[in-house]
Formats: sequence, structure tokens, C-alpha cells
Amino acid sequence: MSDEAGGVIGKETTIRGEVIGREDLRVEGRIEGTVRLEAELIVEEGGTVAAEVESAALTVAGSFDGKATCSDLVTLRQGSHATGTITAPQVVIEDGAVFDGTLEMDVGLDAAAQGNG
Amino acid sequence: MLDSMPRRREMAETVIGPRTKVQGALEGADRLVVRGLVKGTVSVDGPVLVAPGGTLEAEVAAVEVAIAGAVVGRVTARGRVEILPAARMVGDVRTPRILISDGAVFRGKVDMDFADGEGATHG
Repeated sequence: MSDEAGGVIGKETTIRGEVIGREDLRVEGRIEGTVRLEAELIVEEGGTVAAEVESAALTVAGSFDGKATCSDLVTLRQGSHATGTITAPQVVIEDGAVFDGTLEMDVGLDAAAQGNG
Repeated sequence: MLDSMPRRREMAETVIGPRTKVQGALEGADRLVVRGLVKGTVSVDGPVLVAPGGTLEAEVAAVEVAIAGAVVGRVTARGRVEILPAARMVGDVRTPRILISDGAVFRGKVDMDFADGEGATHG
């Protein structure tokens, strides 16, 4: 039943363009362009997303290149490869993940600054 | 055709969910199931199913196309096209075999003069 919800881009499929959604999307294939999801984007092992991404959450087990802005959690799994800019309140990079880029964690800078001062 | 496209785990599948919209070019060799909206061009070396509630506004090239939702555009299938009951299709179809079910709505041209070369430019 939950099979009906969400989407998947299969191993042998490439999308070039824009993907907009309000449900989780698993990428086993490839997306190039723009992804906007009010849900989680999951880049599976072997999958590639080369895109500007806005989503609630992002999990990368495959490869990601681009700019990701997430309102919740970003997880870079062991064996994943990511480049670009990741902006999120919470980012987890597992041991064995490769990340080359910029992390911007929005963790209430004002509060942190006040705590330090 | 719904039955002839089994959901086998080993067959890779692309599913565009009911709350998802894709705009651009989708190409591949996986079975494609459209439950949401796909606009642009679709080129699949496999079957395409437009599920009930799904909409394809695209130029489509595939092996087989089964429509239970809505299609606006041009469809080329080197196998066959099946327009199922409650399906709506506006556009031209080019295929050697076509099935239109009772209850389906179709407006467009059908070209079954599908020579095995690519460029059979009749009409």
C-alpha cells in the first residue's frame, strides 16, 4: 500500500529538468536539473543527482553534486560521494562518506554567538 | 496490458508518484509508471503505464504504452498502444497495434503504417 506513495527513478532512467513533489523520491538512476520536494530525497547506491535541490530531507548513498538546501536532516552515508554546497540545520556525514564542498549548518548563529560572548 | 506488465522485483522501475511533477526530458530503459504528472519528452526502451490519476503531457517514444489516466501529446510505440477504460487521450498515436477499450476517450490521429525503418513519413 505504501508502495503507491512516493516515487522512484529506476537504475536505467535519466531525468533532465525539474522534479517537484510532495512525497519521497528514491533515485537509483540519474537526475540532472532541479528537484524541489516537500519530503525526502534519497539518492540510492549507484544513483546520481546533479542538481539544485530543495527538500525537507536528503539522504545520499550514491553520488550528489550541486546545491542542497534542506529544512531538516541531510545524511551522507558510508560509501557516498558528494560535492557542492549543503545547507541544513542538521548534517550527518558517516565514516566512509566522501564530501568535497561547503557545509552551511543553520544552527541559530545568534544563540551560539550569545552563548560564546 | 496491466496484467502483462508484472511487478517483478528484478525489473527496475521508475515511478513518478501521485504528488510529483516532472518537467523536462525523461529517458531510460526501465518500466515507467506515471501516477503523477510528467511534462516534456519521454523516451523509454520499455513499457510505459499511465496509471489512473496520472497525466502525461509529452512526446512519448516507448515499446508499449498503456493509458489508464490522461495523455496529451504524441505517442510512438513500436510494440503497441492500449487505451484502457476511463483513459483520456488527446494527440496522435503511431504504432503497429492499438487497442481502445470501451469507455476510453480518444481524440487524435492513428498511424498504424509503422514500417520497420524509422522514417515512414506518411501523413
